[in-house]
Amino acid sequence: MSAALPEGPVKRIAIFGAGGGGTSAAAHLSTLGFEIRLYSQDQSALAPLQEIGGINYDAPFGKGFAPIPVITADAAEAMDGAELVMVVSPAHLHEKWIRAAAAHLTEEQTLFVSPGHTLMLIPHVLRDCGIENPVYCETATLPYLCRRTGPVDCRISRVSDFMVFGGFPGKETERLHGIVSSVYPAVAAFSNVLETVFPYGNAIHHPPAFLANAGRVEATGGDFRHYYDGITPSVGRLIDTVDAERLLVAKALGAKTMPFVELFWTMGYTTDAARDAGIAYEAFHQSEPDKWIPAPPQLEHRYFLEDVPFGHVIYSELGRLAGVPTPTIDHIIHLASVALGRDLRADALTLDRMGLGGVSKDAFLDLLENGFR
Amino acid sequence: MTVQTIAVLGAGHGGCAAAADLGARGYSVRLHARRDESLAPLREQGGIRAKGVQEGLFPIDLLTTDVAAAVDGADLVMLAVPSVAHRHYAEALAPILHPGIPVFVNPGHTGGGLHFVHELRRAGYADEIRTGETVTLTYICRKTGPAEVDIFSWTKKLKFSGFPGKYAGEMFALIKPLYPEIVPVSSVLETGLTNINAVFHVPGMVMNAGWIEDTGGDFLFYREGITPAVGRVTKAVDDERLAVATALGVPSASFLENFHQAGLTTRAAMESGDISRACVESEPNKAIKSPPSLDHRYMHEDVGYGLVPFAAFGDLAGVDTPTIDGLIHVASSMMGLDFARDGLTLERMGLAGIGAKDLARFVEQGA
Repeated sequence: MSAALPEGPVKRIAIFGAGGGGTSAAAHLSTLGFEIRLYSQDQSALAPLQEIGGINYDAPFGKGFAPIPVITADAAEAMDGAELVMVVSPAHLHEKWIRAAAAHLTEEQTLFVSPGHTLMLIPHVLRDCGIENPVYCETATLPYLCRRTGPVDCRISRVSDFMVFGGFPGKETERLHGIVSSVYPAVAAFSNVLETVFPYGNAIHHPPAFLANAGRVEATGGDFRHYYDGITPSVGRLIDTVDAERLLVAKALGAKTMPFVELFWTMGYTTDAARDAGIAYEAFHQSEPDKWIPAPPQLEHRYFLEDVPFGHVIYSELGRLAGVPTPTIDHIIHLASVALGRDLRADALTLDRMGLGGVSKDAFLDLLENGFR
Repeated sequence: MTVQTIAVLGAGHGGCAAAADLGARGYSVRLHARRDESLAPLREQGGIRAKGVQEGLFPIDLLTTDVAAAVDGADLVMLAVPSVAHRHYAEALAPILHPGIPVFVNPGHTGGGLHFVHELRRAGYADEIRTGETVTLTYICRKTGPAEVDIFSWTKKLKFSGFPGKYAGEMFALIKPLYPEIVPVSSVLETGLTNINAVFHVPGMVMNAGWIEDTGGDFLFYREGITPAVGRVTKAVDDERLAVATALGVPSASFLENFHQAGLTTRAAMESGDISRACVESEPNKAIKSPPSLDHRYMHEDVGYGLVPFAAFGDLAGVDTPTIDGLIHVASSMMGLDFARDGLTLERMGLAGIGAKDLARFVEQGA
């Protein structure tokens, strides 16, 4: 760890979330010289880290111990003097973390959510907390392929070299990109937080692949390779159908996004030949990084529990807003709900939950670009 | 009138079983196939070799690829072909049939008789027509070679109906001597809405699609494939089917009651209400393997000629069928087909423009 603080606009970073993503970010950014303050509400996750004053990491950039000067369950303490507040959590915890941060957030601080892809949820929650003109930014995906491997250990197998980045309001994206890119040079500025929703790949392929392998997951406890064995030609066709609907919704809203296979290739997950074939089956079958990933042991898993309510449901809701039918996506939401025995739309990211109930397409697009006025 | 001479159309599992069994029991059988390659092995061998409830080599009076030759002088036409072939046979039969030759659609699945008659009318047949149908094939059987068939048993307590309904009693009296196990029910709507194969085959296929394709179906379809989640989706399909039947005033029993009644599971499993358990614990089905690919009748027939007409009856009755619709759509996407368009729609069953209140009359009168 270098003694001098980085040259850019960000010196001190508050990280919200002490799971795999949060601890990996803490370790990585600490080695780059940033001063890290790690926050979580989960005392059992914090205690072992507090005891040793940091986190052990095993990463492509080296192996070692990253000291973390502040590890706390007090949001005010974590955020004090930080230029960047970074939320790293599953989508269903966004609301909780944002509520914890809102009371202490200053106008000078940049709120950065990675991965975000919850569209207008965060601005809506911030407004509910009394911030009238909320500003924040996010990426579509986590900066790392990583896991928390023990109470004081994380393993990073890959640091992303391409992340779709957007700000809210959209007119602030460029300024916010200037700040965040000094920490993560891999962020690529897109127009707004609508364009970070569509490239969230897991939401495209996890629900259809999981549905089409539900029997095997339950019968074998997930004793097969999720991608390599589970995504067969027919399952790939179902994913392609979902992707085609997603692209039509994006197009109707004027959001630029890539076909899934192109995106997967851009992120370095598959071969040129698979990209040229242009179908999900080839993309997964030729994916070296994903080849050995096992299937989840049961259906009560984020492939359904996160990627349906915070993925498929958003596409469906945006389709409704844009007047674009999304029959395959809607049917998968329903069948996954029946398979699990509960309604996955009930706690999902609906337009109502984002404060967009009854908003027209034009008003929505204006809001994305210009914010609340 | 009694039946003595039968034109069996179709030389697959059902057609070969019927030809052997009915031949063994003294009926005169003519067997028709669309391709002579299906008949040549029978010709060479001098008939069909059967095992099971009939044992031996059974000669067939006529083997032909000419529908007219098969039907000429027959007392009964038995249509023993996949549902997808009904239209072809209706067109071939339209110029030949007359009111004196009834047609037994074996099996009719859901809407088979309605579809056959509609296609027959479209092909120009204007006279009276009498059809009868069973919901599944009258045999549990398998063709084991080009000229061999294993007939494990006759299907027990098999629901039978006729279209138009006004001739159903007559049709039942005609077919009963051939198949003493048939039981008359109220109408073709009742046989059609009792198609329980469509209820669980499709969830089993769709929710195991990856497993089937990855391993060529190397697992036990009931014992391993019908897991709790698959059971829940099956239950939702079954509830929708029952809601459609109720709305149309058609008697119908649950999947579990049918499954138990057919001797396929225990009373305890039925009473648990758990479809997964009933399938996993099914003694007669415990060794049945999964189909080797999705390109199989569990999809083609049970979606296109099962779930699609269920959904069509739901439309007619004003009953939502979201789970059935979802499976039709997802199965179509997986296979690159459009079952909702190409399966048995209301139009193909001759029911376009017929409201729920006119349905019973149409089914009874045939017009």
